[in-house]
Amino acid sequence: MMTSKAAISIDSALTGLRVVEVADLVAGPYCGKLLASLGAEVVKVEHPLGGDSARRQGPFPGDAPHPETSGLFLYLNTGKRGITLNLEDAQGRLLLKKLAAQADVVVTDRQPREKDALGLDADFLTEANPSLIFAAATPFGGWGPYADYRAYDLNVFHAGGEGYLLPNGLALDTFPERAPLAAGGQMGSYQGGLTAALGVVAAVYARLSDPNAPGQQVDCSMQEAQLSVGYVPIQRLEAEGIVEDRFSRYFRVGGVLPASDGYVELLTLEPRQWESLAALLDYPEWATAEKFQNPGQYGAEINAHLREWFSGHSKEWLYREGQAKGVPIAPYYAPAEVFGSQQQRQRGFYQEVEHPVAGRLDYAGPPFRSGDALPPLRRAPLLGEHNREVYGELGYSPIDLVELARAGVI
Amino acid sequence: MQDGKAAGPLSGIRVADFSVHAAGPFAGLMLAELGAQVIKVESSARLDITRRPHTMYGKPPSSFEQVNANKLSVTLNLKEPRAVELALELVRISHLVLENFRPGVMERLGLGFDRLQEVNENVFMVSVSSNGQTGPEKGYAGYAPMFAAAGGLGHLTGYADGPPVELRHAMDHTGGLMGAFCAVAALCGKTQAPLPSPLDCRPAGSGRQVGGGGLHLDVAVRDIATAFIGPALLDFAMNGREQSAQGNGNGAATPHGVYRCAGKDAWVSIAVTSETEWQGLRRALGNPDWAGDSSFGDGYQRWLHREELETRLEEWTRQRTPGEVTETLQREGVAAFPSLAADQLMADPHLAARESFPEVTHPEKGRQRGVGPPWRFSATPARLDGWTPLLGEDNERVFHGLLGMPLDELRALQAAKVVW
Repeated sequence: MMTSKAAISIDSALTGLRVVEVADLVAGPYCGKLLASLGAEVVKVEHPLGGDSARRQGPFPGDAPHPETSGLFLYLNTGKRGITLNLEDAQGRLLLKKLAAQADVVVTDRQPREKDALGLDADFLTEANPSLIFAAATPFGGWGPYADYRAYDLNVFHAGGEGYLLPNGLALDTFPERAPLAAGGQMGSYQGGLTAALGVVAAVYARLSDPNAPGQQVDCSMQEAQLSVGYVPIQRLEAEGIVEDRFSRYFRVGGVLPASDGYVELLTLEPRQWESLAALLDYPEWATAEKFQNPGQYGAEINAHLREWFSGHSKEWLYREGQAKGVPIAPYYAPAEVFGSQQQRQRGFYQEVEHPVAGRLDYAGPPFRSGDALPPLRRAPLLGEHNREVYGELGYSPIDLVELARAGVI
Repeated sequence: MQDGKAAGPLSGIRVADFSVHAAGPFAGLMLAELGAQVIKVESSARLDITRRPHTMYGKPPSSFEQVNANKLSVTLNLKEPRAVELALELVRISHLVLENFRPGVMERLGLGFDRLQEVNENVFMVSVSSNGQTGPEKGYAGYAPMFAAAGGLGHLTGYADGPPVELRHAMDHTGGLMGAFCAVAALCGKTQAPLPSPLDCRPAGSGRQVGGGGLHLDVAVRDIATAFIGPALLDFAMNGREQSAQGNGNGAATPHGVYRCAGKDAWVSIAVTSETEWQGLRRALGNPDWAGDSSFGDGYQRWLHREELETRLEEWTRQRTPGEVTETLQREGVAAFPSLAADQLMADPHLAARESFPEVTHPEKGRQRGVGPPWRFSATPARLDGWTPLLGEDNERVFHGLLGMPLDELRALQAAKVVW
């Protein structure tokens, strides 16, 4: 797909970009991971005692907690170098300033009050490096009444409006009285990290395109990141005066349907897709075009039939037969099925990564590529693994590092 | 730049946006909010979903409008060879091309990446699709909930004892967000020199380029759904364990859920993940006797007795509004926040203070509010300052103004349903 004279490749797009990451758990580290996967040199700063709290959360091999084998940590920190640094210590904060002086970007997830206490202050850090890009991905942004509110992924997801609208379809029919629901897998935090990463590369581009441009701060609110991708109910209210809830925001035909061995998703939004569906069903009288075109009246009836018919077939059969006939159907794959998916396997999406403690494991790769070129994954760092290397680059000798370690700075 | 305001970070970048529906256009929206000039290429011959009555919902869905805000609109009926030529002219003066058709459609239209490179060797094309541009399922049809389903995120979303749950626009738009990220990173990659160094961002043919060659970027939204459950897949790789949905829960953290409050359909999310936070919660509740019971004595005990704990907690939240619960718990350092509906979001003092819903002018309906950019740049502000253009609103500005087409030729092409 690429011409031979192409001088850039996707995995080296950010080569030469120096990033310092001070962040835990998901959002900030995912931002750093994305930048690293495109070639940025990301140095992850962790507290000397225990490091990123993701190291204490599983999954662990054999369920035996170990700071170097947390799946959460291993996945979210690929491609980075790791150092330890105690920012609660004044000397530690000066070291961070030296690191920032050599960097293009600092990324943090610390909220304003904590940020100031740790010297993660844009004014302080830019004294030594006026062109620094200082990016923060925090639950509610860097200012405003809730800026210091404590929030985890659950709270952030529900703060953005999407949580109030989940579940829908079959789950809502089954449990209409239950609480609204957050998406799985800490989706809101991944989205927050991705949004911050886009803000960072945009700021980097601005600096590249204007050599006289100063650095700047990029304040990314995870709540606003949720709102941004979830603007639909806001527009429904603004333009039509309708406040959406779980019961109104609902596909009347299709949606989640039971199969004999799990569930599939069916969505027929175009007339030709209903026709294909009718063909797949072999034209029963409940699946006529007039009924499909009047989901308000016939939706419940059609869905009762669909649920019965679909539950007589396997997910895989419905997926293959449906798609072959042009019916948009997809299976709800459980982890083993995702892991074995022919589409992703053939595209080389999973990459084996070797780690000295956790061993060899297949990881989900980056969700972007150019032609067949998929950015390669490099393993996550051990706690403090690159202290000698990174502090060495700042001019510290191994003896200095022993002193700093003894003083509890690194 | 306009009206003396500081320019956005992508000022000077031009995007030819051929995408439709939600996922691709959202990439264009992000780039437009970041200051790029995004030209949406559409046609009366096949109206985008934002332009026509929805087959299932009846009316044109105004709720989908924002995805094309801040853009210019031109019309090209790409079944006409002359329209394809004009599309290529547009690509010649653009840095980025966005599309999210099924793989192969751009080639059929005469706008495949190889062809685009012939007119602009430095162009980046971002293709957002369900399953990617290659592989046995590349041609499969898909919408947002299906990406999440096949990618595995759907399986992990739902009540623990219930079926999976559909993820909708947020999933689509995340595909666009990822596409925009790759596109801007690729623009940065135009220079291989260490920062800071100037990057010439003028269109191909009109100036110097640092680093040559374009790229075709392939973003599969299904892969994003999988990338977002990376740790769950490592659990499978490590332990052969199949994680499943846990409602609002997160592992062993207790309490970790959404609880009913006073008011109609009123809820608050509460997450306690440490002993310190548990002590904070006890104080916030006024140190009730039950909370001191040994069956809640440590994290493991609380997890074992989570049903009883959550019942007790909900007895307390039910007597208070989500706002009252949030304030009381936050004062004690406990993560709590309401599950907000759209009207509550738009009335929220925090979002008001951050001006998260800027007012924009709709070409027909007048002033209305939209959802603003999710970043605040201190030097190069991102902004939502124009609403969705009318169909073909910028034909003259683009074909005459940018491409230099004489006005009478433009009129003739409009009459011939080429610019249409």
